[in-house]
Amino acid sequence: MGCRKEFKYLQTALCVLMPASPLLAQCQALFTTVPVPGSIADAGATCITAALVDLGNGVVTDRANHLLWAKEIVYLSVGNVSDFENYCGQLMLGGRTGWYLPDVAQLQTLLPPGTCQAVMDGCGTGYPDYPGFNGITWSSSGVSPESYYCPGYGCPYYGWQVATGLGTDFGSLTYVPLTPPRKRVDAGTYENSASVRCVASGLKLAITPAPVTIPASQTTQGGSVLTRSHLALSLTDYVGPASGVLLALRSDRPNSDKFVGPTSATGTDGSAKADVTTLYQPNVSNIDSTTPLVWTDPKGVVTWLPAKYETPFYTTCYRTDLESDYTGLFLAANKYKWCGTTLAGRSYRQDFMDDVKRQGSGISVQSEVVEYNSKGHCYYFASCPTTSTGACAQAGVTAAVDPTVIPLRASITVDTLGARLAQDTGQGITFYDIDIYNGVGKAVCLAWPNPNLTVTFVSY
Amino acid sequence: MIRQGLFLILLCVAGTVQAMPHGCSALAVEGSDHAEGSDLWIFASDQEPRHVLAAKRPIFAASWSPDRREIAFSVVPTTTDFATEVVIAEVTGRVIGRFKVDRPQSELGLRYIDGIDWREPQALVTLGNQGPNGGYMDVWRLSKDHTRAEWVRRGGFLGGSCVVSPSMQYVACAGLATIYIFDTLAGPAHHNGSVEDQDYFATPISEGQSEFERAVEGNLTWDTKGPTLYAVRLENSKRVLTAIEKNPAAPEGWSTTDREIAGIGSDSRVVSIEVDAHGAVMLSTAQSGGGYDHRAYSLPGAAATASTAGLVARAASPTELRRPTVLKAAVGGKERLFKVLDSYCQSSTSQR
Repeated sequence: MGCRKEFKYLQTALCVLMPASPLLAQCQALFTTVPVPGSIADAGATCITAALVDLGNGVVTDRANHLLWAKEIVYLSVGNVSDFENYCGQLMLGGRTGWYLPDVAQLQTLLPPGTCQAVMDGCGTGYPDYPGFNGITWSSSGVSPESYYCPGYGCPYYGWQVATGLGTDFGSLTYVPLTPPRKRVDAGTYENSASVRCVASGLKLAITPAPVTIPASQTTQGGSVLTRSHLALSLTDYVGPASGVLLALRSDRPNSDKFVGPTSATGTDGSAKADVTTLYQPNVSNIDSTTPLVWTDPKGVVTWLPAKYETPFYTTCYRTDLESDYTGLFLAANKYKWCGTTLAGRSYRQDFMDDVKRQGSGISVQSEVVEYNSKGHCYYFASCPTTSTGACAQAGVTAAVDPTVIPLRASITVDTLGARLAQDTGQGITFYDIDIYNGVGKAVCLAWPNPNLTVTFVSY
Repeated sequence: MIRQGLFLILLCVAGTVQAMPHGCSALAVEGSDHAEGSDLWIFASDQEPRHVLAAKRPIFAASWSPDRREIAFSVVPTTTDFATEVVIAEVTGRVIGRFKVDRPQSELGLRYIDGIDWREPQALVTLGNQGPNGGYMDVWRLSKDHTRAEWVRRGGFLGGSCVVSPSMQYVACAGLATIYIFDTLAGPAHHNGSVEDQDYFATPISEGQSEFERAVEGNLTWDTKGPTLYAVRLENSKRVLTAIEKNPAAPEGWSTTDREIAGIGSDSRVVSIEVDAHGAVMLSTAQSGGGYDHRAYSLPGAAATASTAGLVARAASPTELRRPTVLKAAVGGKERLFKVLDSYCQSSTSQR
């Protein structure tokens, strides 16, 4: 029997027993289902008689309803329901926190009597005169709206209780005359019982983030790099894999992180997959699940940088041309278009000047740094081989990139070549091309290694 | 047939990827152009994909011969000490010739060939990268049996993602914020045969405009009928179709019109543009950032380059793209993605 249905049935029966009750309106209200936040029905789990397994650490798991129970009932000599809730909330049991006071629907999964006798305390024969030993425990479900259960006391002092023991004495409402005999599932006060059995989520989710990458063929968005971590999700009910659960995830950076998936429920091995992405990489993200009855342990901790580009880069070498490497004809300086004044009496090799356009800079035999301005279509002198960011190109430091893939000024690591700065661009450097500046003269690009290298984004 | 890195975006497409349209065939490689090796395949409508050959290095560029009986392709050199070369093979995969395009990079030569265009039975064009800022277009005369090639002329260019005009006179390249058009017959050749590229047409950049504010989206493409170049650019967050048309009366010899394109979502980016034999302009898009959504659009009225009226992109079936940039096919019992390097359709002239 579904316990939520039984709960409603019970309310109905009580009202039928008192058709002339001056609280008829309240009785009618009771015909509506009392919402029980966090119940197993909310989780989509079937609310059926528990299938209990003693885990041997003070904890009993219910594989049917995905609940974790404290093996022991605890008698508390404390005030009201909030004290019970606080007790469970602070409980460390079975190596975990996250315990809470069960609702009445959850408690009813321990029925019919005998269901929990073999594995839990408080489920057998107790002392009939002392209801606390008949396994009567408090739920978090209050009696609302106010009914005959709580005249003069106020409903906050009454809550649903369930007797999980084998006894037949469920106590009485001694201060309320003409009330019917108490039931196994009934409302009560502390005088009926002050015992609690804490419950917790019976599914454990382990989130294992893969190393962060930049998805294949990704381009920047608003100057930011999109990074992603594949999340391996593994769900158990503390005994074996838990299948058929569609998990929902959240991050402690909800405004920065975005989830893709999981798009399907956990498989027979309890596994599922999802991705988390972000355009904002500072700090780490802590990821857990918001799926009811799922306890995340361990949480997924994603450190966003460094992040490796999934697509390898076609890596080439560039240099500052050295005029002495060339053998072509010398032409007078005035044969070339200069951005400023042409130096009289100078001459430059034609093939050297031609290649300066394509390499970006060159050093003449007079040791001048010659560069080409592709906007003004003219040559000019510089104090050093300059890059797009204005910095002087340095071997071992400078790399030319497509800024729509690697943001300018980013720190990167290029496979075996090591750390570089994205200081330069090139009109021929497009998409997943990266050009490594290696110094002056043709010799510096001799025997360039395998051009397909991986790049890791380190920082902006 | 240039290497257009943006095509890689489509390799991660998980959505719609079209098969070859009826009457069309394509040369394609599996995987990205940064893979260790390449397998060259032929895809034809209504036929099973056919494996042509396996190369140990990535194939950046390939082209059908005009009679579709042979293929020219280039692989990336292993190191800078190896010269780039073009290989001629029969469609059966049998290699019949190969020729070096330039010196190795370590000898100040080209770094790689990223474009091959076999235009006439004995005329083949290559686009080679020489440095971070540009490279050279070379025209080759092939022997009648296609086993050898003789170098005819060279024109320099700046920029990347270049495309050669149908007449082989102009090469257009995309700079960061500029589209260049170089006339490779403009003047006398240097002593090394290279035509001076100093006098070229370049689209203007407004004062203070960022280099990245007029970025070209996808490739450039020439109209098949005449010297008109099309490109899609993003300008001040607006997407425009730029048409650059040869116009002797214009001050710089070329006239440019920009027409705003509506109908394409801001979350998409154009990855390719093509002009069919009838002058119709087609676009394909992918989700911004490298995404998963691939769509096709036509641009009615785009061929009227004298007009400045805005254009409205009309969603089209991907099969209307005569030259898809990516193909998905089941090969060996497994669905695989292929990047198209060249394609042709029986009713039109090949040009990408």
